[in-house]
Amino acid sequence: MNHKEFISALSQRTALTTKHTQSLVTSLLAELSARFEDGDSLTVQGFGSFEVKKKLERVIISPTGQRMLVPPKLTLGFKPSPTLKESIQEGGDE
Amino acid sequence: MDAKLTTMDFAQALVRRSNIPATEASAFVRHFFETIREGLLHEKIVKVRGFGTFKLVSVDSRESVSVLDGSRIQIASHTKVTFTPDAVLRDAVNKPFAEFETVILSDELNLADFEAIDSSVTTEPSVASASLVSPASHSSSASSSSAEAPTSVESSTPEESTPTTSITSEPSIPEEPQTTETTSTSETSISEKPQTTETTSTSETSIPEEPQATGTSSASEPSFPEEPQATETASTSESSIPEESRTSEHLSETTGKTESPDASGSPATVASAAPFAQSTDSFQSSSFAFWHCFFGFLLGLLLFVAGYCVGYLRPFALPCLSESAAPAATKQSPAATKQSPAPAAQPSAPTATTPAAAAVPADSLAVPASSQSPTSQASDAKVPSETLAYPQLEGGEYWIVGIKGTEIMKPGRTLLNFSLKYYKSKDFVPYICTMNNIKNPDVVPLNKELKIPELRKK
Repeated sequence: MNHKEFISALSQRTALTTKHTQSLVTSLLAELSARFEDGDSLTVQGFGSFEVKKKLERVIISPTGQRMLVPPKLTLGFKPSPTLKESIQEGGDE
Repeated sequence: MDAKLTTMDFAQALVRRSNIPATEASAFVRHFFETIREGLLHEKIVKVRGFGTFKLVSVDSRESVSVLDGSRIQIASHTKVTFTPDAVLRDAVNKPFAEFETVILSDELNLADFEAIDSSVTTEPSVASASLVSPASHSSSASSSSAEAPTSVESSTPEESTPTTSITSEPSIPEEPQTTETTSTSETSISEKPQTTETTSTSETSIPEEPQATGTSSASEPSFPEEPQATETASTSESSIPEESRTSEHLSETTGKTESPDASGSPATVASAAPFAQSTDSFQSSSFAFWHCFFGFLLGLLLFVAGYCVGYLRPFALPCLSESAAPAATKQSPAATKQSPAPAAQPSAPTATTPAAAAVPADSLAVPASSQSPTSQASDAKVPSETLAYPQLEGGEYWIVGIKGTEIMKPGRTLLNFSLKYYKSKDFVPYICTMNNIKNPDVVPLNKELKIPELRKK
């Protein structure tokens, strides 16, 4: 499901036009991005939680044999909720 | 900052941003995630621009170990959901650390570490080699003294007993064959005796000195007058070679006696030898074939023993030091030439025509042989028999006499660690290397099983 399909599916659910839906999604994602930049975490009931985590710097050895120092970084992680896990497990069994 | 937000917070934000009713906003946010969930279930992948990609990934079943009791458990195959943030969101989140870049590390620091380990390892062999040099110089002095040995007989013996390593065994090489050879003569001398006893009556007539010899033998006391006599008379001296060497063999067996008991032991045998020489004179034609075979056998045995000893004593030599090996080789060759007169003199004995000069060196050779053989045997006895089963560190202060334990080479383990663990000292790395035939202590194959040697002070 790509972005266009997602927007159309969402518009059908909310009974809004795709254009309006798109603008709402954009504003929602802007808010999400702003929140995550601040380091906030989001928990969605029945879906999962998004959290910004800091990954420490580390040394890797590239396939060419070079040793490289990877800098620390902040990443957005997603942890599915138990209900989502269960539902996808059932869906996977299909 | 670090707040735990819910969908309600975003609904309120959406109300502020888009001027829509609060109920609609909260419903929209709820529908947003519901749609993602529905899409996942139906299509297994949902891409939302500006947010990221949700994906269902199937995981195969695998074995694992229970954390509680360590038993093996099977993790069933399942499906998990992954989320990969969009590049825009990822960069936005990582903004505080955006200026950092991946740095390629130079390996110089690492090399320096390895060199430090290198030097600590290599210093030990250098010390060992330094300690090796001194015995080498010692061996040159010992070899020079032993080279003089034929002329001044016993002077070299005390010196040669002091060096512990192969230097003692090297000079003993030329001597040992003789002693072992004399054992053969002592065996065969049994066959001689009946002959001599038979011929004593006839032998008396030929040379005036013999009655003296037989007289002393009957007296069986004064040994020293006997020997000069033997050197004076050509015939008796030559025949006395096997006899004296036989007594020397007696000496080597008793190992405690000096020259005088050796000489005192000789009269009986020398007495029988003296007549025997003349007996060969008279019985020359009849027993010549027998003696020919006998000395041929003797010569063969001597060569065999010499070869065996050279081969046997080689491990105790210092093959790595060419300086010590060179004198040893040069010393061996005179020894070989020294030995040759003895068998050469012996075949001539039946004819009894060779001059006394040929007999005298042979005679004198037999004496150092007897005097030095105990020392050589003693030096051999110092070497524990267990060491033969294991490779030995040349010039080391310890023998490798067994296996203390085994270790597996793993990442992070070093020979230095093993040395410290088993010997409480880092000085034993060379022994571990020797035991496991490791040429380069810096390069040990992963998972190689290393035998830790049991050591005994030399």
